Amino acid sequence: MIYRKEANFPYPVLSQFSLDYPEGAFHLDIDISELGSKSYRFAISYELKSPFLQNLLKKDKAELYIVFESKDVYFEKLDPFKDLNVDISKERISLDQKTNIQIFVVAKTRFSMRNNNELDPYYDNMKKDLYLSKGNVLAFSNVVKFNGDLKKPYQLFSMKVDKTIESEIKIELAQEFIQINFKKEEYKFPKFKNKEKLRYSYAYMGLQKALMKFLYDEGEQKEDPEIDIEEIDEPFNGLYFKLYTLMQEKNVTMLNTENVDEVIHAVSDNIIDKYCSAIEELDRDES
Amino acid sequence: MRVRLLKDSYFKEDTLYEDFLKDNIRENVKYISNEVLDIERDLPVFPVYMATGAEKARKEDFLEAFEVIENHYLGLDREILMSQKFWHSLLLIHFRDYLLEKYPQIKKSPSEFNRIVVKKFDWENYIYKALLAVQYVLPNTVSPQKAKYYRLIIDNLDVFNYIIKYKIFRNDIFLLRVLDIIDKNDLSKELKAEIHEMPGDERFGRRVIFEMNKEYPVIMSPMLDNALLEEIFLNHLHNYQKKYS
Repeated sequence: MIYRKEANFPYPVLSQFSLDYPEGAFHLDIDISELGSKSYRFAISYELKSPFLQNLLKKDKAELYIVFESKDVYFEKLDPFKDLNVDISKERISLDQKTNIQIFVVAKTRFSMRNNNELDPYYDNMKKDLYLSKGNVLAFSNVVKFNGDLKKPYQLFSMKVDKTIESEIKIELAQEFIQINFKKEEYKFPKFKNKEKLRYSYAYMGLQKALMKFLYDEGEQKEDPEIDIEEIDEPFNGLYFKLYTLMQEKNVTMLNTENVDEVIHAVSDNIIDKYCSAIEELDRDES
Repeated sequence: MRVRLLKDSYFKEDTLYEDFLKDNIRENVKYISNEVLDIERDLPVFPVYMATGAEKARKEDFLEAFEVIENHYLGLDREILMSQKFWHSLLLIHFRDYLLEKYPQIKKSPSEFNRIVVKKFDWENYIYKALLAVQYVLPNTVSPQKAKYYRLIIDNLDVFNYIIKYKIFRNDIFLLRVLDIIDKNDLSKELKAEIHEMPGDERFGRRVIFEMNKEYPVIMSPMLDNALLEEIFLNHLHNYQKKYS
């Protein structure tokens, strides 16, 4: 039930993807602790920067909901003006798998946008005719994520020397990393000051292999597999989860055998360009 | 009961199927890790595959699965109950004899084995379906109602499947509200009916859930009250019925 698409709405909403409320913000922070051995406690703090929406909450014309999404969805209505702790039994929620949390403001009755002075001037002429209905989302916050089982959530690669491999380089997909093994230490460029960037060509190969494997393992059909990144469930496997998260963050919506290079471009922040400038740097240093 | 857990690599072993048939898994270090789960109760067997067979037998199997899960599994942490490795460990090591007797087709081919025993633990897996059914119904109902909802799920399996397929609808409150609407308006048959004019196996119930998925979050259907949800649900159904019948 988590919403993170950059979609257009038929009416103004407050979210990080929308410019409808130029001065607005809706930010969520969460602290988790264990409450005895049977439950988790989620301490919620949020900032809703919008007097208009605040007022709707105060007048009971809108409601605040929190949504937890792990293997399935759990949601609860929050009292926006009280201390916000949500306790959930471990029978109901697990945090070893990936968990996403988001809060929403939802309309409770029909009302007009006529007096909303926080909207972008674009709406000036039409807002008197804009009515929102019960059940419409008015604002959604950032998504807070927990990667319970990942040892190193932001590390994608692991490189090491293994003299026993039969090829010069061997790329393996480990539980949580793209593992790049080198037969010789020199292949890792240990002597160069920009060695990190020099290894980007290996990273490219690793990403290519990992994304193809991801595609064939998680795609539904075996021939010409295709994955709709916005629709699939979060992958079980740690490495696939990292790739999935990365693609989502970079707004990749589709992965197929044809667009792997474009996907790498989107998720990797110009690594070929950086690799190239590292070589140029070496050349300059020599001359 | 002590559950011995498999190594993470069990999935990749080419010999898994053969070794299962030969009863060569439970003592084999190739598959078994040092990890164990000590659970202070018995974890009995129950039907894990309800895709084939006569309708009556399938319904009975579902009810049996609900009952066993309710009485023996519920109350374990979700971390355990939602773990594919936990279930595959139980099936491969502890349920082996039962599975071979109940589903003799496993002996015929590895693909039957993959379908019944080491099936991915997601909405298409029958253990997963039964587990969510119990977890969603039980905490929200009292005794006579419980049986009613179990029956509604079994009688409306197609809609149930589509609700737990979409991540945004995989929720107890929403499921029960939809079942109430179906019950109140006696919609089982209509929702199950195929839409012959559409390609693939499309049914009216699936299209209603599909439309609500499309509308989310402009209309946050899981959070609506019963009356408004009913209105929206019936509206989508009538639109499709007008167009296709």
